[in-house]
Amino acid sequence: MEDAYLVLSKLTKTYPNQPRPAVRDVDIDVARGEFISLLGPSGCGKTTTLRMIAGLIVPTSGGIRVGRVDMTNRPVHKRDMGMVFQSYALFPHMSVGENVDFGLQMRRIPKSERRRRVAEALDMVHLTHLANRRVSQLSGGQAQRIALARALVIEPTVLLLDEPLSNLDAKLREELRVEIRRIQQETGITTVFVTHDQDEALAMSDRLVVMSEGRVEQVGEPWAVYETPRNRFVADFIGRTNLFDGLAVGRDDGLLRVAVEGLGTLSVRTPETGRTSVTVMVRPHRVQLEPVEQLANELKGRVVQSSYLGDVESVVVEVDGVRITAERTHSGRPLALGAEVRLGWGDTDAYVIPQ
Amino acid sequence: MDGVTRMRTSSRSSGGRTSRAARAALLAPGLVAIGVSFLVPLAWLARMSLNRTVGSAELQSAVSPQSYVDVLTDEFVWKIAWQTLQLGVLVTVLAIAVSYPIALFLARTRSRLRGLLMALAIAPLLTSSVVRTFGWLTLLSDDGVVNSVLSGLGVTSEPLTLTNNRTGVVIALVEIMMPYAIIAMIAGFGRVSKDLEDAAGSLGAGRLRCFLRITFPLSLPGVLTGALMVFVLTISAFVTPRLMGGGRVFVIATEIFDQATTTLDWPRASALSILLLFLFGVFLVLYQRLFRLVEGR
Repeated sequence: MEDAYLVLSKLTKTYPNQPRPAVRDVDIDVARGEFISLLGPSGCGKTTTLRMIAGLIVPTSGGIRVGRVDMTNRPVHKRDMGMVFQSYALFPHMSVGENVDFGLQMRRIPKSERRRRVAEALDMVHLTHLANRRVSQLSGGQAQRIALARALVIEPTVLLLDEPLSNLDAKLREELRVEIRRIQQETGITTVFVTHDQDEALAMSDRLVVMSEGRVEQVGEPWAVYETPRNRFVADFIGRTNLFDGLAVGRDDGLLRVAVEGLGTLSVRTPETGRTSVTVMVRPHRVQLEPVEQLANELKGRVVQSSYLGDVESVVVEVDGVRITAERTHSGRPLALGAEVRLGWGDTDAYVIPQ
Repeated sequence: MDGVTRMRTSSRSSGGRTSRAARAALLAPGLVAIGVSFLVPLAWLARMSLNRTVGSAELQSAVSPQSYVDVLTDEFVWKIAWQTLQLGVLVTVLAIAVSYPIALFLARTRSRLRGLLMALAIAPLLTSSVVRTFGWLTLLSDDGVVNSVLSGLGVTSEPLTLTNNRTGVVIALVEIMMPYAIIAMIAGFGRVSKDLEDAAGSLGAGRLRCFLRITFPLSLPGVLTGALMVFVLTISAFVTPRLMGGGRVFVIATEIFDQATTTLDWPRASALSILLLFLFGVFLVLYQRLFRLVEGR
């Protein structure tokens, strides 16, 4: 990337006595002002990567650069990065105001300026009235906002967020999601966000980095990662999905014909892949139950499972031994178990995974 | 001890499930033990302190403040009380200072050897302080290991006087108190956390400032608890001052022993004991005040 601001190159971390590196050859370029999420299951190396950026973990090899400055061997306190911890990590022996002030004190900034900047930071998170509170008197959401204010008041080069929302309840999480994104866009700060929650990552990020077993599996805009996963892991990890392994048996007019055991031959609109053994992905919300129009792929099956979730109904239909998950919106009364249903999807609703 | 009780009660089970009677029954053995082994003797001690001694060690039953008056107007008692306090403060400061790094390390390490190191740190408690004091006597005496090495290396021409004086008492007491200091401090280091230190680092604090502004203030509850423990044990210590002091170091505890066994003035010994107890009370209150201050409540 030409205008890359935060650059990780071949970043690797190997722990002694562990056969597999925790992070392996991670290359990520983050543009100035970009919000990027590291997403993956626990143990995928996303937090290790973030902590290497912060300077809390020394990489085994590889480099970290911010702008033109090489950060790889710089100690944490000289990196000028703001970090928000999962545990908030507010200093319990200081008031809210003193917490926010701490980073400014470390920079030996004159008192009058410190007072102004602390006030501005608290105002940004709408918690000016809590300046004199003790940290122990804050709610989880308030503590998280203060942690954010404390990280941003030092005007860091990069903002690092380590699962900042995972200790909050669902409603608050959504609220803070919007707020963090608002503040990030207002300040224009380059942000790296670590999460295992794909909804969070999809909703907040400019780009996603999907990681697994210490490696980067895919980097891209949320919609692109969701719609066109690069491999089976990403397809499976991001969103719910149906994956069918089959053989490419023919091709005409941009349509690939794939023979799948139990389902017959499926039609998928896809560019040439050149491979015979392929995996077809169909997202559950693309599967139509009792379709009214003619579809490229139509099947018949029996309902074996149904979960009513309010806004959608998630239905599992078994077609000749193959289970297909579909989502019904505006569902009304849920489908009865054992009911015979028709289902189908168009040739553009499916996607052939490249690897 | 406010801090300690609070830590204990936080792990209690929800109260609703055990009935009042069951709770009383569960508490009974402990209460009886405390009553028989502590409260009854204490009451007996208080009663004894009001008796009188006439002639040469003849005990006379009475209700008289005479022994308190005698004790409080005796310049020698004030002198040894002052010496006891000095010894207490000195040993406390030194024992905490040398134990602090060990306790902090043990509280934070994630090494697999943590359990072993912990056991090693408190293993000295397995031997009695009498044995350990004799150990120090052989190490520090005029022809002991320390002096042999020093004179053998030509560092000293005359042996250093390290026993039968206050120096020896302090050295031995500091070592004897270390396991207590370490245990008490580790228990009080609950608020010290890696995340907070990492956060301070990311905000621009180097190692020293991180320690001074974050780690040390957060470790104060542990330091205070350890200090109280060491101080109380030191000012009531008898064996070590007696043996290492060689009869030349006087503290309240040795004075009580002398009064009870040599002079046979039991009322005076009892009055001294009650005064020592009063001193404990004063320091407990002081500790609680300080604890609240450092916990920021």
